[in-house]
Amino acid sequence: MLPVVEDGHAVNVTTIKGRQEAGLGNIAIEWVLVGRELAFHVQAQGWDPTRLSWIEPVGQVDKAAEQSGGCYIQNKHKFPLLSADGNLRASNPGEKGVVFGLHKPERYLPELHPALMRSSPPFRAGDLSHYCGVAGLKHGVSVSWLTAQSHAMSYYHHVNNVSRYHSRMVTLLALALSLQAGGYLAAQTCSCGAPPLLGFIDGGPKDRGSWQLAWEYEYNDISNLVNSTRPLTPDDRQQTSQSGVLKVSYGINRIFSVTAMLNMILKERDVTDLLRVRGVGDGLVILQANLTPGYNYPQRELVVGVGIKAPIGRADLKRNEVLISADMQPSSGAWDGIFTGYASSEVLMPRPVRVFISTSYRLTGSYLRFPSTNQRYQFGDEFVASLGAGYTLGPRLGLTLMGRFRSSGASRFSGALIPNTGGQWYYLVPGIHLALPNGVNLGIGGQLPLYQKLNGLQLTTKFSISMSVFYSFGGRSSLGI
Amino acid sequence: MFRPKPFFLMIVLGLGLMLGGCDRIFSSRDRGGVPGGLWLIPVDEVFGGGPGKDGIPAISNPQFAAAKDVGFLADNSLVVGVKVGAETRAYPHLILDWHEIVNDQISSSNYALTYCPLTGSAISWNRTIGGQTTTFGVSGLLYNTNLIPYDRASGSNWSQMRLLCVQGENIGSAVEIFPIVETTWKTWREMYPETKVMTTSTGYSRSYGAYPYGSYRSDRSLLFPISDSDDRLHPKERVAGLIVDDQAKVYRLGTFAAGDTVRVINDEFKGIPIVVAGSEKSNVIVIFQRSLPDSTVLSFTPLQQVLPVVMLDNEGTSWDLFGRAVAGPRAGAQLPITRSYIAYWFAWGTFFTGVEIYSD
Repeated sequence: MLPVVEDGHAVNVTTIKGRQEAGLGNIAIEWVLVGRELAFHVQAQGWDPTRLSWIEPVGQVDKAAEQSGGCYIQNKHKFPLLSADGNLRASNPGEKGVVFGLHKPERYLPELHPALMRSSPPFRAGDLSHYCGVAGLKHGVSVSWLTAQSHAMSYYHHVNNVSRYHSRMVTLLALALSLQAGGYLAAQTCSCGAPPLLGFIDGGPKDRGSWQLAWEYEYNDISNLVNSTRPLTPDDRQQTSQSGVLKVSYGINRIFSVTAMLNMILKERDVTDLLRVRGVGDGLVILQANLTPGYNYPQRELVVGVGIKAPIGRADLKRNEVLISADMQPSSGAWDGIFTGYASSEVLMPRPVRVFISTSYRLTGSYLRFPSTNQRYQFGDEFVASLGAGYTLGPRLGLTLMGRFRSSGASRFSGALIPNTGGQWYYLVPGIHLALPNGVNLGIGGQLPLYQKLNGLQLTTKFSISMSVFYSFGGRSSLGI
Repeated sequence: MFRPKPFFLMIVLGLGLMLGGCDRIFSSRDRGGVPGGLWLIPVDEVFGGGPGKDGIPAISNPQFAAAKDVGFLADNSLVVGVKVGAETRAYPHLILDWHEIVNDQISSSNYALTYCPLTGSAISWNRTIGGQTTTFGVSGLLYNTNLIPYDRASGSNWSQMRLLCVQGENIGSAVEIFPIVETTWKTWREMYPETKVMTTSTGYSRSYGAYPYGSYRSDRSLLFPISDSDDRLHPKERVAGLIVDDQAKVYRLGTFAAGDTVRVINDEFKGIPIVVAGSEKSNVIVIFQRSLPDSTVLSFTPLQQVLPVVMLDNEGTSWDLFGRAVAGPRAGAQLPITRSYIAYWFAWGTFFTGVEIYSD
């Protein structure tokens, strides 16, 4: 017979540690009772929902537990833990937290837990149970770890710090992966000249009234000399590009969000003389639609977007009255159409891994680069695809790794293809991401070229590094989820 | 939860970084950057070609091999041939396409062999300017799609096809042209079997077997604006042209196709008697003055099957493709050099409005 605890008191219970086979398929319950504290978890594997209506631990809110890092549930109802073999009620007696687990077929939860439904989307039948591990038991040990079903995440984040950090870290990862997703605009003789913006498009906010604010810096060393696929010994010249992008995103509702970006460019080319160009680049506005609103169990998203890139900065800078080349101008000079797609999903492991794929396509316009002869210049269309994953190392730290493919068409002068522009690139993009206590998140990443097939001879990226700072707020939760 | 401080801090930081970086352009003049000042050509028709100054590296220490040791040239590969005294050197197009300028020396002759792949123009000129021997580099600038070399002594910019310094300390100075012969490798090595050939050991890593501009040399496209367009011929047809007083007359290779291997045209342009010798079969055209310093005006007939000797004058002197008298009464004499070279038709049409096309 299972022990019974009421109102925080262990009644007729001493220190017990044991395991109870529930007799409901592959379900096991383990518990530890230390002093007046009960810790237990429920583990289920491949359970049959037809045999088990629901399992719901009960307990009482303890604000102290929330603030100290405890894990608790908020529930005004008391329900049997098991559909058979008696009842078990457990409470969170204090600041040490409690371990519990739950799993629930969807059809029962709305009836039984309306309070939960306000913050948690419906569960899905067939979901595995999970359990929450909390460090901090005074005399005991923490049990297990969070497998982070998203419904539990959204539920947890209301109620305990551990889950909040975890949820936040997953959000951090999602944003960080997104910020590294896509690619960047490229151009001309080195095919890396136009302002980078596509690399900073993510899935966008998912809640009405939520904001995301990001600033990303990228340093691009463009000193590799490649002829088609063949790397050549570089000449004695240096070319770099630095960009800063300010991005503001706003969640219109659970489906639509809008993102605006603006970048600044600093380009340097140093051979015999140094040419340095600095200025505002291009701006971009994208409307995104989340095709999976509320799909949080597990957390998955599919977001598509359409937007426009505007030539905010100048593309006609001259040095001593001589028009400099297009790849050294701050702006691309043209209006472009942008199409994006982003999909991600959590993959449950001992720690959650988030995998994603991101694609973007830029349909380039032309601009009047040579007004005296009424001739136009056009960068090539660009397609970027990224496939990657993010892994949480802890409540504040995450790692990301992705592969990126980029294809750029050749540039055109008055409709004619310009040799030695355009090509295909493959990159490896690692990243580290850190969540700070005040809601600001930091990221550091790099981009390493693995392979390229260029049109002719070009300077191309040797390596690039990026740093990002982003901050989300508003919406239904402080995490901007 | 909204935290205003980080939000506004990021906004201010972001905007500050951006607005603080207003459009600016900087170049290091002290390191040879393009100086400002007067240009003899419309500066709004001068454009940055892309790679920047010396982004296309000129060669200043070319390496050579004997013709018999050269295996990277096909028979129909074009070369630019130079002859100084008894020494001959060939500079392959497939190397010049990547470097555009070779600074070289034979005996006391210091010359810059310049070649613009976008206008198809090869011109050799004296590197000694105003008593000072310098080297030339690729400025990265283009005028009418044509190469603008710069001399490293003063940083002055020169228009290749204008044969003139158009900006800088030497503004207005004209180049001193040295005669060259542009032909196929097969023709050149048959004419000069002991020739030296510039090798691909340039000190730079390039794919010399590949043409860097795609289909450019045969299609009708241009990569940069030109001031004037003349559609009478295919834009990429190679024609030999003569410049007199800023006007030009061109001779098509097809003009020299009539049966004989070599054809000679005794012509006149702007009152100057000239002789044009060429062979479509051998892919060569050269132009010299027929009037000598002693006021003798010669007339020429072609000589066949004895390349590089191509013509016989009315006095019985035979002359080669370099305008040198090789035998006869005037043996050792040199026909006066003209301001002439081979280039794509479109370049002639844009540099010299109303350019005359020779016709029989």
